[in-house]
Amino acid sequence: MKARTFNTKKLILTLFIGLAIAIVMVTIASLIGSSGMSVLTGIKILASRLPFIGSSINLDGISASQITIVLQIRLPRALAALVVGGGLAVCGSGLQGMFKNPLADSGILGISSGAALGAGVAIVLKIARTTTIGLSGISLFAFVGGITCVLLVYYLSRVKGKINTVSLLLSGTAISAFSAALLALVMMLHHDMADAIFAWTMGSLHNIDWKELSWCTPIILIGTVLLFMQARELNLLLLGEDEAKHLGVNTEMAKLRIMILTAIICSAAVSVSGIIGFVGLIIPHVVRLFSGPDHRYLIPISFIVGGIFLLLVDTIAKTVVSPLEINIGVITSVLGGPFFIYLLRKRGRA
Amino acid sequence: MLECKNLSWKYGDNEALSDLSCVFKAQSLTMILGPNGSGKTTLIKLLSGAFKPQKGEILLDSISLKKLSPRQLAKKIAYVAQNSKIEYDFSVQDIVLMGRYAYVPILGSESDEDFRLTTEAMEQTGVAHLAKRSVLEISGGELQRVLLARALVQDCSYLLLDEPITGLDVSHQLEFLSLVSELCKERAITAVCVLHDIELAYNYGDEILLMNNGQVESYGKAQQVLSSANIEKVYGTKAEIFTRNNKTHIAFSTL
Repeated sequence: MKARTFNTKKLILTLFIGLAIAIVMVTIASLIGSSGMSVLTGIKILASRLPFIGSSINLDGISASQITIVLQIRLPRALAALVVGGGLAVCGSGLQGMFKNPLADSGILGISSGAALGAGVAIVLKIARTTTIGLSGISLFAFVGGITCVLLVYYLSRVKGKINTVSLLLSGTAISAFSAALLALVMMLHHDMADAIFAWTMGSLHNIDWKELSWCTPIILIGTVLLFMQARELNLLLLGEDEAKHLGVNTEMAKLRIMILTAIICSAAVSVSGIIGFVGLIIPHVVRLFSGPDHRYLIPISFIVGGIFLLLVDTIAKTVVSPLEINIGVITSVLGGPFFIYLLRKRGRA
Repeated sequence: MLECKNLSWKYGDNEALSDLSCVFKAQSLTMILGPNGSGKTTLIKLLSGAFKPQKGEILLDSISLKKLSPRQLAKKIAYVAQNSKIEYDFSVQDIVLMGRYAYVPILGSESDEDFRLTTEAMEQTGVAHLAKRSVLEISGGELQRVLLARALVQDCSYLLLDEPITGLDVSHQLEFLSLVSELCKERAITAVCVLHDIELAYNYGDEILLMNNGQVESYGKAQQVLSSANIEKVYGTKAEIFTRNNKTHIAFSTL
């Protein structure tokens, strides 16, 4: 069997095709919803914002509320699904490479539970209003909660100035459990807010507007580019830390950079969407099946595939029991749970 | 020049190396021998930079090893580990190319020169025909040659090998050691190799470093170091050394 060797042209072509699919998917997602608006109306509204041809589109007979639904609700939501899904998938590929463990994702460093605790605190303190940076109080607290947990995990796992990978995993598990327990306590003490907190932990994209999108998108995109720049170090870390060190990688610094970047990307993503499980676990595996283990492919392709996957899941979430919505985290976990078990069993047999 | 100065290393209370000093002969293949627990692996790990000396220091061309960054070190010392396992589906060429990591600029990618050196090293180690194959599908003997090729593309003056023939059958053991010996001469490399097999060390090593209880028992040519008396002292085994067809053989028997 021939293994796949890295080829820049092949990567650019794959990304170009992925981007084209993503644009089509965003367009379709912007046309689907519970308002009963016709597809043609939606297309006209979207086309009216395109350069060159936009001014020639006639919007007569289309109400302001319909324009708002497409441009202020559906479009930012579809783009958010793309960016959040991409960010979570990229974090999974980075962490799986760093831990050399295919079962790692952003939950492993306590990011998700830290973010959930932050959001829970913001909800009970009723600081949901938008802050000066365009981010809701809940999102800001969730972001800070996620980052704080990673810093704590990092501090706890340092032994004699080095990060031990096993200690990192154990500290992450302990901090996750601790944060989850604190969140449960918060929910017990504030029964009236428990539903809102629970809903946040199940993840949803329905409240995302342009302000939140414009806050999290640059963080996730820049973070992804910076993580992509660690791709060669991640490839070498797959050979084992000692091997990577012998080949010239400063493994301690590389692990620290990867941890910080994944913490920032993931915290930015979940701060606007709530907890969305399993995207970071499933997508890198699926991508690895056809791209191979090289992170120079894995990171950018995971971003595109993760984004498209979450967009698809979100479209299912908002349409399958319309006009009600299923929380997006429920669907990703329903799909991800069996896949996780499949991976565990496959590893057990190997 | 690779030199150890008063090296000591302890695992808890157990002393693995005790005030060890030696200078490895330049541009020759030194085989490190010694019974289990004599400190061979600890010494090679210290030489590779994987362990930091608790006492003493290692000098590489008169520079202390601890003053070198991982990138600088990877340009000077290449290391072939014992029983390396690669669990991911990289191609053979990709694995060898990883040896060029230290030479690629931080934000750059591999140059044509990196690819040329990779091809050259794969040809020298006889794995060029496997270049596009998955590293998961090659045999243990082929993998060792791939890892040797990766060490060669690091373009180092020093090569360390930690029991590189463990798990290989006899023909692959001989083939691998011949290859290492030839390449060291061809590329003027100073190589240090930990081995368990005294006979192979005798026949393929230019120099022998015999270790005992964390110290150097003897260092020099095989004929001087691997005498029956030294083997008996270090291994507690009788050894009869004889030559047949220009190859030295050693027959062991219990005391």
